[in-house]
Amino acid sequence: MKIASAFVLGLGVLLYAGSPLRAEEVTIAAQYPLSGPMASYSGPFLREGTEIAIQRINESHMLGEGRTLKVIIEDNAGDRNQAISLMNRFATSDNALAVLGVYGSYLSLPTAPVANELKIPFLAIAASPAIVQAGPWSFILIEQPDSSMKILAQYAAEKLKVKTAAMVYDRANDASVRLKNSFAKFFKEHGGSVVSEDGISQQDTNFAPIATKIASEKIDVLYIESVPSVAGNFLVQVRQAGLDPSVKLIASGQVSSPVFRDIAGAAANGIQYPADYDADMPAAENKYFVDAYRKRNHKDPDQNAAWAYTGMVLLAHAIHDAGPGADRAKVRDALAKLHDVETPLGAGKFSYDKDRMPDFGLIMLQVVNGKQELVK
Amino acid sequence: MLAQQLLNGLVVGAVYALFSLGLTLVFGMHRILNLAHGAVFMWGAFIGYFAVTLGGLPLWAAFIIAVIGAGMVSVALDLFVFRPLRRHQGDEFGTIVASIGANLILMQLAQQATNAQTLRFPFGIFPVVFFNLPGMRISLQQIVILAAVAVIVLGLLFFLFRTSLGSEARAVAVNEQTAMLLGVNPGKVYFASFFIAGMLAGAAGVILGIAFNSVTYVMGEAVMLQAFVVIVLGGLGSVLGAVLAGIVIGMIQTLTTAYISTELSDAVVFGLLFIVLLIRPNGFFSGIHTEYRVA
Repeated sequence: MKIASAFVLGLGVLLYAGSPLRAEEVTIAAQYPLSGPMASYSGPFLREGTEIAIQRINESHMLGEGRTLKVIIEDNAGDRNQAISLMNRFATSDNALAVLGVYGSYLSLPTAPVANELKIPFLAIAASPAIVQAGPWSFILIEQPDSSMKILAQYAAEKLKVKTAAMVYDRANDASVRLKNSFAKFFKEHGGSVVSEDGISQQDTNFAPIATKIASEKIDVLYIESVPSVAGNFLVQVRQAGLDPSVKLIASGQVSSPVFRDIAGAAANGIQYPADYDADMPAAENKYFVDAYRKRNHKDPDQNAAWAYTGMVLLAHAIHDAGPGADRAKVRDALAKLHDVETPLGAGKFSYDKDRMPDFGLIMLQVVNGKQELVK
Repeated sequence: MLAQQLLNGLVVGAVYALFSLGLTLVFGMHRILNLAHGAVFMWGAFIGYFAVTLGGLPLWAAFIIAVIGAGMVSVALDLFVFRPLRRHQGDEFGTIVASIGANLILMQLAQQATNAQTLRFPFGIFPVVFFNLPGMRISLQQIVILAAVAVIVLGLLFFLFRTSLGSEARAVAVNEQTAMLLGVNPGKVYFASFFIAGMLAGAAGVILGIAFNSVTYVMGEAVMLQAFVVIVLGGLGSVLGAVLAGIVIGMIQTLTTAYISTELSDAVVFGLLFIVLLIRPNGFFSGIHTEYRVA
């Protein structure tokens, strides 16, 4: 009797060990500015993109057989201290295998060293190379400002044939300042000159003084670098101030957002910018993403949603490539080696180069009659 | 460009004045520094916005509803925040802290209601018409803003100095206990002053929301900062002082941004505040609690 009981017990243990109940649970943590001043143009879209990615990962068993996905999404409120606290919690209490998000260089720069101290792979939705330089555990999702601004400056000089620029940028945002400086550098290399540079802040709403000043300047092109709601509002006011309609409008990819087009309205018509994402890109992964997003949210995804989706997919691929029982170091190594992963961004294939810099091919977009289109 | 920038400064200064009037009114009458005044301003803008977008109302009706709505929010603040403190003999510091808490609550409610989105009044809600003059162009919107602020300020002055309730309010401002002995009902005065302060904030909220194409749950914060400078420079409790200081601050801020640097505009304004306080610690004008005799 005792032998029979032992046999049954042993059989039960073997069955349990091999059953789906013993599937490996993989935890990915994400933190976004779901509240606070950044939330209006980013947080909800980032979360929506993440939700579609979870659906995709589960449907396609992207993590590999025998693995289930657990995603923790938290709000950092656009606050650096909160972002750091969450990173600590994700790494120590939540035992996340990797972290996505934080969003933007402002939040990512102080968080990256913490991720490296805690030795947890951290994929920042940001572009600053300083995040990567913080250590081997931190990665960025967005192509370098220099890449996009080089394309934009060349486009402005050769296609738009403009020579004199006024620049308006977010003076409190490190990424914004970098983008502005980068554009100015490349624009001058192409024979252009910068007539004026004016810094604004995300808290500003009264742009009448700067708008009036710019409207009185002799310029061919106005470059705007700020978050979507502020850039849109500025455009409205500079048009109202009497900006010459023949002045071309260009911007960085930050304005690739329905928030920008909604706030700016007709004032945005004609603006052109390099971007990471457009819902009409033909890549297969983008088609899945857009269809699923539209079905769930009854609207088109924006760049932020695409970034969050891509980030989750990249982490899932890295976890898969790291193999069963992967630890954080293996995930980190697999992430650095990702090559030609199908994502919605850019031309459709995402890779990291040897310096862990992302490459996925930027596209030129424009706003025509309130809609975002590819520049032909 | 100078004339245009002066006009820009005048318009934004007029709105600062409108906002600051409510703040200085409550302080002048009751010695209450209401740090939730920015939230009342913000809620006025939101009420106006929702009246237009959800209620389908024309702008003039939405404006009235916004102004009354903001007045009610301000009265609710007094009812639930300041009055209990008065009953329990709370001190000024406690009142300030309570108003900070109320401000945060009102902001959180607005954030939840709007999902932290930056909203704007629909395009075309106000006719886009410009008049070209030598050296400048003035919009119909700017003319209406200046006219509206002028009418509101005159209305406030009329209320304070030509109505019996205004006399009672000024009496309470001088000395509440004595006013009670003379038969003034301070409860009625508190209600009136908070309601009017809220109305002023709400009016400023709608005007700013339309003029600068932006309605957001944090919009009150930046304006509060400017308002402090206005009411201190103008003299705590002084209606005339708030109007003049508001316009001066608007002009200085605009000209600094246009001709020196955007980064320096706040530094110049607060630097000016510091200098003025060294010369005139009580501001340039006396408050309503000292200006006129009651009877």
